[in-house]
Amino acid sequence: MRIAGIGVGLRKPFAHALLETDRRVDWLEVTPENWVFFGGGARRMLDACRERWPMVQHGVSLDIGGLSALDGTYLDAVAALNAKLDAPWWSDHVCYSSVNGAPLHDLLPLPFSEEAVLHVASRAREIQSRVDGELVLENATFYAHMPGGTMSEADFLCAILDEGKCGLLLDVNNVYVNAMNHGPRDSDALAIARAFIDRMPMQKVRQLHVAGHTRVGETVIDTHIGPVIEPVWELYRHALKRAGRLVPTLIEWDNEIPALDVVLDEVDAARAHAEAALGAAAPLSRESEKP
Amino acid sequence: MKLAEFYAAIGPFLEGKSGHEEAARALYGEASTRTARQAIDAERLAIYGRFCARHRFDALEFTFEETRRALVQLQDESRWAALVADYFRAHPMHHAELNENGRELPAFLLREAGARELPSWLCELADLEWWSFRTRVAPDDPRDAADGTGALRLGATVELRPYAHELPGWLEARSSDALPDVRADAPAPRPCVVLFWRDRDLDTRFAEATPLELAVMHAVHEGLPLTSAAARVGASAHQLDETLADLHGAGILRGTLPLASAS
Repeated sequence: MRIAGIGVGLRKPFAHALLETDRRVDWLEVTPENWVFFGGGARRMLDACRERWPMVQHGVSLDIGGLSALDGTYLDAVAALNAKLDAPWWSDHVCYSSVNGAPLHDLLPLPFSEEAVLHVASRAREIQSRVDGELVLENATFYAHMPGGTMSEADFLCAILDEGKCGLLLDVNNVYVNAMNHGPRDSDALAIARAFIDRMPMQKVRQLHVAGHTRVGETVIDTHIGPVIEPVWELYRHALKRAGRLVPTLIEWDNEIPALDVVLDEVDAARAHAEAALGAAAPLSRESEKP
Repeated sequence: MKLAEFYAAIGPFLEGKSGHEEAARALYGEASTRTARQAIDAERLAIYGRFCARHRFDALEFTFEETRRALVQLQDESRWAALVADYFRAHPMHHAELNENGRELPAFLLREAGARELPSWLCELADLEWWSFRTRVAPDDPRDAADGTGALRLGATVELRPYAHELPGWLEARSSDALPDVRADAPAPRPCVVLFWRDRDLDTRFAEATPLELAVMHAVHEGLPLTSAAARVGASAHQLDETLADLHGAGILRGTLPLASAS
């Protein structure tokens, strides 16, 4: 199944409306935790969407940086859905999400250390031996540096991709949020973010994410609320130019979810930004994407 | 700091077992010795404590919405918050699907009811909400898809739960537009058996089961004659036919519907 163009995350609040819309959505991303353990209406909805759109999984429970044993039940469920979707890759985050064997249901930052690189890479290889399809890892947001770190975030991420033989899901909003939260006071967050993107191995980028975020006091929180702001669109265009192709792009809007049309306005906006960035290189019409 | 030390220092904080200051000290040293960067990191560490705590509430508040509402009305928000914290100390999260981590709450409430001065019906309400959730997400059974064929049988999602309080009617009145003075603060104490199932549209249903419905479901499940099951509860053939049609129409019974007189 080919993943191309601009997609949205399949979210239950607008799933029914999505099946009824005639507006253009090229592909869907599905969070396995919210679907694979459910029969009934959820299963029927997933099947209906699967018949209409190409889909890939984007998980939040892999716990690739954790010390707990990998969750075999979860991996089996991901593997089964991957086979059903015939998806070329599946993704999760560079983070940990459990302690002492207990899931925490959050994406928690690792120390940027050599030890963590080797640990994550080792688990990535193990996971890829158990689940078909390329494992793609997303750069996560972090609000605090964890002690023990000896590397920059960019070096840390690149080392994991190399050692773990993984693809990259480049979340452009996360790059911006991290630049805002960790750049020196009064520094140019956009310049910092652009420099981060310039360090990324674009040939390994399988997907891009764009999303909204929320400022809470002095900190910018990756809430996936609201429309994408212009600086993030600017970074998006920058990433596409660096890639030289329309990397499959996902609009993330996961909280305070509005009517579907509002989310699809963001899909249209992404398409326009891609065209602005790539011009003729962006396969923007339905026809041009047919094999 | 090695990864093992890192997890040992941060784990209890994220699980809600220790406070922010303690974790910040273990990770970043005493406040007086921290660099400016470490001071910011130590302060922002609190964000992760709040996020993880929020997920513990989310894990219960979707499934147990009415249980929470009733407990807060009976006591207050702080008692609910304490219960959530204590529940996850006793039953740490174990599942990637968030709501699944609430599985033990009904049993936990039953154990804790005395100490927390909770009425017994609240434990039953939690059990009802849990089974409503379980019914909604239960795996699909291919036998249900082959609906109109084969022997009469119970739908795969059918579940019966006995309670000592009349919960379905109470919940209905509570969520209806009935005037506040006709809504009871607590369900009436009266034994009832609640039937849970997923209908043909895959919507979750629950309702109090009548004695005749229970007798019919028992007979179908055990392969016993339907007419004698009806006779045991004093029902006529006509009542049996009506009940069979109702149960089949609702999706509680699947397969080929017989006439009572022929069963």
